Amino acid sequence: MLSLRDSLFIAALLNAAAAPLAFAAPTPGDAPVLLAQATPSDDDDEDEDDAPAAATPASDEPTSASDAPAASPASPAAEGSAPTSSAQAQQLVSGAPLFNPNVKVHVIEKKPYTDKGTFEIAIYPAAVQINGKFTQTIGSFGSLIYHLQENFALQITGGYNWWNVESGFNGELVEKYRVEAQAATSLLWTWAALGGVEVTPFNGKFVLFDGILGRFSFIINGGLGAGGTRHQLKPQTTRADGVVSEATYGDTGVKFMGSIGAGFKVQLGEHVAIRLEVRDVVYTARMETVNGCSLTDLTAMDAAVIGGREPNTVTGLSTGCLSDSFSGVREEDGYRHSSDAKLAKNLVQTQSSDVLNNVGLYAGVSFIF
Amino acid sequence: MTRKTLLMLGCVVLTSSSAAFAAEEEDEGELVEKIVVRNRLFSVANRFELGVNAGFGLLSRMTDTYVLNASVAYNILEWLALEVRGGWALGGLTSVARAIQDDYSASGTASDASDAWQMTGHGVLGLRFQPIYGKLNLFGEGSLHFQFYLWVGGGVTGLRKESLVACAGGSSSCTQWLAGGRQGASPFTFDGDTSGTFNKISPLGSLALGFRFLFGREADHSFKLEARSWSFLDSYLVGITKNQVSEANPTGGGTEAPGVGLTNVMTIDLGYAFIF
Repeated sequence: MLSLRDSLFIAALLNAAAAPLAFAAPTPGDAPVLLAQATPSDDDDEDEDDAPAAATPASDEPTSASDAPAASPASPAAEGSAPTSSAQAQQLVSGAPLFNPNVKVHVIEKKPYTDKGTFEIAIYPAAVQINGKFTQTIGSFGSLIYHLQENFALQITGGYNWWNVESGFNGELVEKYRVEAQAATSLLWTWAALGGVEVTPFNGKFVLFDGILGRFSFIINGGLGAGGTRHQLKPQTTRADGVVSEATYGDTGVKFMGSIGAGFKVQLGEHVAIRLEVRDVVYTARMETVNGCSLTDLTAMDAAVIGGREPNTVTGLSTGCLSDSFSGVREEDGYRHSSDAKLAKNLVQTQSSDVLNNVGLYAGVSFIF
Repeated sequence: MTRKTLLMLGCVVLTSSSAAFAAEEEDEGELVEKIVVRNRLFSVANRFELGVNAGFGLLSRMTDTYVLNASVAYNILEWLALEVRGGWALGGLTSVARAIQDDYSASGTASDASDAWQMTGHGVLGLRFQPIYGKLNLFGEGSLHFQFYLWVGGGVTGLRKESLVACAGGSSSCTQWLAGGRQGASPFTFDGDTSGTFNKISPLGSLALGFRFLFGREADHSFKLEARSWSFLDSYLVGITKNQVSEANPTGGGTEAPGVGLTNVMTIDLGYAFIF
């Protein structure tokens, strides 16, 4: 029969044997650590100087430079320079001697959420043009993103600029000085469908008022695709009787588009993130048709209007020319659409081309699943 | 005490000690995590800054703007600083505005354009809210420490205007100046005007969002990248009788347009500050 002393001794042995196992056992919250010797000049990380000391219950004394080489848990310097016991100094937490005050520990945290293999739907309720000199657009866009790797994803983006008008600046030029931007320069972008990639070269973390922790990614994306354009034909006017006659627009066709952007994605939990990006959508602008009608079509329709006929009575127009869009009367203000035929002809007649940049601020939220 | 009792006692001790270690281990992990994020490598509270900034206009319609500033700041708290900025803005008319000038004729009446004032000397006092401190991992273990801030303030600015349509000296001298490559003093400006039509001092509001990246052993240096708006009172003349414009009568009988609002100039600024 074992004595009480023997039993306690056995229990103490088992206890001591189990302790390192308990420390070494990985848990989901463990952070993998990378060791480095403490040197006074190596202070490139915010956690380096304080983390080991704070994590060590008995390490209030500052670590001196002379202690720096004591990376080995068995180092005499480690034992002698800090009140931490030798047994504690030898203990490793996920492989790191966090209890050894003489060892500097760089903590490389795991990303709490993995991106690889996940889908992400981003919704941008408001994408506002910020370089609107002659045009002004505001739209809503969405992206479907599939993360092939942690830092690389495929992206499809589409959306519609529900507000796309010529800027007040352009209107002022017309009103005061009878000058305006050339037709191609003031081409309005309506919709787009783009496919491309997104990379996440940098990750970061931040703290708000030392209390709220957050993580973010710096993202860069680019894509190619196509989009719709239109051009203002008649500006908005106010008639003598006070009736506002709305502006009229003509469809100028689908254009090749490319985009490049950069921004931040702030992760809010596992499935939600906030996105703030600046994107530059580049497209070629050349006025060749309006509402599908070429210069020949528009010239014929204008001649018909001068002759007292409606444009949609003209025969021999090219396929795709929507002559009906130049015919009829608008109920709201009695505006005759036939007037647009001449305006459209003037736009196409004056050859112009440009490469336009629509730089927009895209603010939105994304859902990851 | 029986053997069974002793063994049970031993098991209880073993189990409880393991649980205690496990709990301690969890605490350690949690502690390290918090310290990693919360302890700042750089502290700026109670420190002064001396800085220089240069910016360019983001959207030029009638005028181009380039801003040069010097700044002095005091970081009251880690997240709040008081800053004085002052400097000079360089600028001129854009190609669109020049094209309008090129079409000058001395006949008829015309109106000047809105948003055509050019900033000159200016100074603002503001608060910089910098509650977000972060770290951006670049390559390997290299990291960039930064603060994200909102700057709000106000002050005064000198403004100067070069008219698009009002030219002193008569038709011939104006067209000659335009045809001659705009050499010499512009007849479209009236620097001696004291009526507030072509030179004035206006209240100035400024708002900025930006990052400043901290460097040095104790954040001795910082580089800023910010988007800043400068807002001041706009005004312009309408109904200018062009052939009546002269040095003595720069308005040409024109009157101030009613209901004119603010001009907002957006700049992208780059800056450096020494923190001590």
